[in-house]
Amino acid sequence: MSWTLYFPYAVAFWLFFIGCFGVAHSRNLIHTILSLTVVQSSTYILLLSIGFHAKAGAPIFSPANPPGSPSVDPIVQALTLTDIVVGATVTALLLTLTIQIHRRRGTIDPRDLRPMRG
Amino acid sequence: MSPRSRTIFFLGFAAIGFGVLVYAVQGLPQFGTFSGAYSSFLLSTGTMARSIENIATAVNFDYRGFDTMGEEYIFFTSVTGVLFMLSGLRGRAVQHEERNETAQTRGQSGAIRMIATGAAGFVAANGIYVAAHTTATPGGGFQGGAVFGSAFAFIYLGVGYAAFMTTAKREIFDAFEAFGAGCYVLLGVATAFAAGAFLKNSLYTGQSGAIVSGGLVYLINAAVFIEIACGFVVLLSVFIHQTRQVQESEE
Repeated sequence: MSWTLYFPYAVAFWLFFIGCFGVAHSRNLIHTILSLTVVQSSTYILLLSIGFHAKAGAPIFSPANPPGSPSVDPIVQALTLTDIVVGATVTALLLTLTIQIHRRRGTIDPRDLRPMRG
Repeated sequence: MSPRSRTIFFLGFAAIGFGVLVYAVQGLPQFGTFSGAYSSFLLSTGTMARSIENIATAVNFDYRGFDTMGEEYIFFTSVTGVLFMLSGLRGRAVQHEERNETAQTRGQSGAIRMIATGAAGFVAANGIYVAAHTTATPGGGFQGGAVFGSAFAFIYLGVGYAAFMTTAKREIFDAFEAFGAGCYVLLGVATAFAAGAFLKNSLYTGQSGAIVSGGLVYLINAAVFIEIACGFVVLLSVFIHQTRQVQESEE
């Protein structure tokens, strides 16, 4: 069992933890949001690498690549598409919240944002 | 919490999390060898049964069409949320004077405006192309919609704010976004009455490899394309609106 067989999973974990590190050390809410998208891209890599097949093509069949020929897993591809759409909407919502926070508190540094007082 | 103790705290928990993940990977199939029964079944029957060459589209809009409806409404509700939180409010931060000027007074050359407008048309056509070939080649309503919506950013960047706001009329795109979202459910209800099950694909599926094929999948794809494209334009217009300074007279 060679180490390289786990390399895609290692890339996914690296992205996950470096994104978490960015969230934990952020001095700017926009940087926090971008770190979160890095965390999310680790899930794309994980999903797609689970569905990968050696020596297989895309799950798109045509006369040149007839149905039944080896293909990677289409389910994880569809799930990744869902993941990307949800990621984009989450980013849009979080950016909106950042705009509102800046408007109300005058800063987007999480360390200056103490809990709200009534 | 000081940055130093924060780092120690983070590294401690990251080490625990990494250990759990490494343990979990032991149970995963080796890279490149996983073969699920569900996907094997879909790969062997999808094209024959539905005349769809792109199996990922078949999974999204046919076999898991109900899930995709939920996904579409995640997008819809989040665009609605952004609209609720930001519409009617202009950016309060002091902006550079340049922001309030039109393309002409900013001295943007005609060449830039022409190229940007041309690029917008090209990108919009490309978005429609990607969405229209959903069943035959890689592509689909989600991807095509995102490309189509991005075309409007060219108008803002190359021609200016005023031109962008005239092109991307929010009321129109908002209405079309709701129309696309509603069509998905109406298609489901219509098939429930006509075919006996929600989103059951019993339409004529056409010739495999043709642009219009897949039966109900193609209609759902069109509804999703309209919703995502218009939703992206609404998001762009709301965010770009935020860069505008409040005029004294408007307060």
